[in-house]
Amino acid sequence: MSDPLGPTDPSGRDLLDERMDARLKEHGARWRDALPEPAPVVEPATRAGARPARPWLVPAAAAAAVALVLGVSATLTRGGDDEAGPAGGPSSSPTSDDTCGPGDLVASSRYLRESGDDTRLSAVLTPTDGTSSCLVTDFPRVELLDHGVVAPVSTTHAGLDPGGTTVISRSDPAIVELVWRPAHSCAGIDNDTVRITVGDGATVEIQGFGETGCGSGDHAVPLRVNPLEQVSDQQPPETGGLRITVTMDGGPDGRSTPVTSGTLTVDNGSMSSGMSIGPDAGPARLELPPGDYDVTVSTPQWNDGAVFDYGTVHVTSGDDRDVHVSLPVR
Amino acid sequence: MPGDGPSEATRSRRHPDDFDAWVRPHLAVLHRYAARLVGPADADDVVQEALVRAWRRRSTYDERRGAPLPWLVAIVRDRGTRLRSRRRDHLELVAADGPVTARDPDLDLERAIRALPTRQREAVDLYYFVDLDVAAIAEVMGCAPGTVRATLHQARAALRTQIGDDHE
Repeated sequence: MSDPLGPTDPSGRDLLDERMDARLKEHGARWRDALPEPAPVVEPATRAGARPARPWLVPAAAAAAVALVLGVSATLTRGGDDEAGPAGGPSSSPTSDDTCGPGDLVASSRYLRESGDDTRLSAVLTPTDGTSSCLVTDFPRVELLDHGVVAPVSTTHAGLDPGGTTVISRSDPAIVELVWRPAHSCAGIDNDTVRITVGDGATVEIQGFGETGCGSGDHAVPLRVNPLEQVSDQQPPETGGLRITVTMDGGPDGRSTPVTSGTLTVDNGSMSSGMSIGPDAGPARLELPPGDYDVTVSTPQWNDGAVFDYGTVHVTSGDDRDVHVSLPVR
Repeated sequence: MPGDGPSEATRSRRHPDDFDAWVRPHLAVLHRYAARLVGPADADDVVQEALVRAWRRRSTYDERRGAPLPWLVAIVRDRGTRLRSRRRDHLELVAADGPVTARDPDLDLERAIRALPTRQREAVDLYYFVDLDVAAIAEVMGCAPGTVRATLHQARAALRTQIGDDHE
């Protein structure tokens, strides 16, 4: 595909892109040529004779000594029930400052969207103020809570590969995505909170999927946990917010009554996102990519759950927009 | 040799039991990446810190998850990011002391690269400067090779926008 910004020759080649590619290659080659040689960390020629100390072996040996001291200390104080590290190697405690641990992360954003039969819940994990960065190597561990109690919902992983080591920093937050289908689950729970744990006990809690239930013919499907993916805070998702309030208005007495149950959906033709309307949640907030969205509401409080089409609203990046959906009562 | 399994040398390159042999093939790449992150003057320190971390954590490396290079590069990135956060003036230092920027007429290009969004700059650094191939970059960045190619394309477009198409 050609770059719409640049000219192409009749064969479809993007000449400007190729020119920049060539310039970068030349620049990169010159940069490598001018780069000083790395410090003589390993010199194969010296391996047969007296080997110079490798720079990492000095601190590594020191670390091993510290690990040994810590291990002995822990053994003495805990009655010798510590798991020993590999011979000559470190125990696990000196490495825990690398791996994300308790208090290292917060969930800075949360996204909920429906796509086909799937409901996808995502959380962006960012280091807390006291943490510059930390490492995660495994799949996130996820618990669904129903009013503080862990709900019996099993989880499965998307594939076997958790994606290698992820370094979570402020400039490179990570995003974890949970996928649920269909109809959330047959467990019939009110999933108000999702607890996500990564690394050595770095736990965050986010608002959950909401009330779950089964349609006829549905069967229990475990929650799928996708590997952590890196996002960049310099490339924030370009989104805007909709704060949607739903009321029933009119009738003989002309009252305005808040709607306290049901669902609202927004749809832009290629993506649909939905949210449950709660009894005391106030305005429902949805974070969406910029564009035009059709907003619809369905609540058992109005015409037996009939769908009310509010119309189209425009979402602008970086802005929150208040939308008041008024269901007319005759 | 059929039936003999991997040789000792091959095995030591695939697994960190012999840490020296395991990291040695990657040192040049790690050094180049560190130099892109923090500048040549601090690259050795970052690589050394990263190797210490890698040595401490070598028991957590699982070769079934992929080649060691992306794992090592991730640790270099972490160490480099930490150093940069401690030394906010690294860009100026690199501009003054770097092997290219002090003398090179491509100063505008270098500045434009540094102004790229993080993922685009990472892809450009790894591809054009560290000299990794797209498949390895995909492992490092945790995405598909096609995403790397798209990111590089976006980066080149952004660089053209910043410094103009007439950059010969």
